[in-house]
Amino acid sequence: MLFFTLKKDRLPEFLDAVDKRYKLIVPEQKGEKTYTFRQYTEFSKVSLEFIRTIIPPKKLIFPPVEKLFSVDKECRIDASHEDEQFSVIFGLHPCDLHGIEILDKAFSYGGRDTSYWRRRDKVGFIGLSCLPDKYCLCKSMHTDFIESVYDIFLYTLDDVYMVSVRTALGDDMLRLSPGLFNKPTKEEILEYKERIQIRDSMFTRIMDTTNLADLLTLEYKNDIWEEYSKRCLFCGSCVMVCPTCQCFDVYDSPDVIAGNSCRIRRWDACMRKDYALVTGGHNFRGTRPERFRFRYLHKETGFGEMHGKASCTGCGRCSETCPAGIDMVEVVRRIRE
Amino acid sequence: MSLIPVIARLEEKRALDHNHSLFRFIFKEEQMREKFHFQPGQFVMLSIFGVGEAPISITSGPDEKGFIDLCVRKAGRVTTALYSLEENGKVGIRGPFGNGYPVDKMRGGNLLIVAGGLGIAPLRSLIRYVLWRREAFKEVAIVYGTKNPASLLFNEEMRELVLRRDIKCLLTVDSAQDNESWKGHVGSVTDLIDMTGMPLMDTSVAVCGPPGFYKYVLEKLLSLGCSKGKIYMSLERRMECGEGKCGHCVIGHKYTCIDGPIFTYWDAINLPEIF
Repeated sequence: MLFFTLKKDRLPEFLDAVDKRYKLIVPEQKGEKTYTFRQYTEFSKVSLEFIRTIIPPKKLIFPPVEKLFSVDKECRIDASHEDEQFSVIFGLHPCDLHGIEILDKAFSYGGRDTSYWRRRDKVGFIGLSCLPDKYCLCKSMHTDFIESVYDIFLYTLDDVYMVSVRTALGDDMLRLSPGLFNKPTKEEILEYKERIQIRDSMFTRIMDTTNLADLLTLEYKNDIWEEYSKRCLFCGSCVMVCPTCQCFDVYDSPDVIAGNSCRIRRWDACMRKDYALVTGGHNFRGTRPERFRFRYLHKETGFGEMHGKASCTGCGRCSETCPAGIDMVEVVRRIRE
Repeated sequence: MSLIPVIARLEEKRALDHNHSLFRFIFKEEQMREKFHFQPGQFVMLSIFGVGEAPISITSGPDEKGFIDLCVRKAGRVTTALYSLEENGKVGIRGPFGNGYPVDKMRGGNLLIVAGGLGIAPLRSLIRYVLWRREAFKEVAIVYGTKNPASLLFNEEMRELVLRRDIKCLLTVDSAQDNESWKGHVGSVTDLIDMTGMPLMDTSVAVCGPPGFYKYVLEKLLSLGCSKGKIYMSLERRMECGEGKCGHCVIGHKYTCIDGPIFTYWDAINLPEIF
């Protein structure tokens, strides 16, 4: 890992250079308080102060709706696709980079998912440091900093960014604008250390995750699941905005007149009533409490057993988005009581 | 891993009863016919293009090369469309998926196969595996129960098995009222387990049947001293991919499609959501 500094007022030059070489995706303001990842047009539109986008960057690698192949009357399959341009996503916070790391594991478990990795292998990441708001839970989930996945990470200091270059791709990007990067001075290193302390002290939201997997299993029959499932609207918003929810549905979309059809996969949600319904009418998760509980168990423990840690990145999107005001921190606190 | 199927041709369909048929498929590409190896208990994702895809267990034996047989109940959209497919019609097949029965562990010991209804479909593959190398197993017993004589799948084959001397095959029906020619047993498969007279302490048991069926069979097996680690159950869940990605078949922390569909009873009771 190499460290440099970049003067803040030279960031536009750097992003312009990256945009010339790659397809650059950046965070932009969408509504009054909402942000989204979009293709870069000009620097003035880039949001540097956002906390979280509505939809996590997973949409760029794992699209909400995706055609897998088309098939004609003679059952000739066409799975061709346009060669994707190499893109660089700028502005990912540590939680979202952790989200990508978890998706990488999910789409490799039992073999690499070709559609996912076709895009994933053509994406680079420039991370950006952030300060927490009232929903941020990354410190509790141990995802408040990251040492993998990204190619370049920018830590915001007063006048400069402390730039961490982790990969050869990151180095390629830096070399697109050679004059911009300097060796960090002693003062800048000191400032970087102070910033870490300040950020660390700003977290107001804490969730005790000690033995959480055990507790959720022990409290499998707790009345709390019933109680919350009465409040939950089962709209699936928490799933759609989750950076690590990777469930999908596969279906055929036929063109009856032409006689051909497309096979599509689209995001799915375990909160949906017929998610575990099988032919013959048996539903393996037929009741609302079962479905509500399943999301918590799978997020906090299920994935953990497979991959060694919970699959919640603490990004805060589910709590911010839930129309019924259900908050994971509160649910977990009640489980602990 | 990819969600793109290969093309196969429907070679033959044979009705087994009013809503179960046996479908034989041959891969279009010769290379695929050679390459397609599977274990008893594995399944494929079967595509009817324009309708969708469904997981179906393979019912032919792994030593029978060049084709695969699927025993299918006419029940949902894909299977209904399959029933209206003409011979020589084309389908898509992905797989094989799942862990299959641990035949290497089962070899060298006694084997009891317990089937209920359509549960015979994956077990028939195991039976054919065993018959192909009968000397690799000690005592082998098969017990199979259905609602009535008319719903006994693979009727002739099963009757041939009953006549064999190197295995013990016993059949039963819940009720034989509609069929006076039924000379076999009437009652539960658990009665048949007793009738095999097989010592079950060190026997591997493969069980497959409808959800309600497991409860009685498992109770019976445990009462006869079977080890929970040697009872192999084949579980059913909704599946969209078969490759451990779509999430639909998750039970607790396991994917039925790659960690299963064959689970030991011991593994199963350690999964939340099962019982």
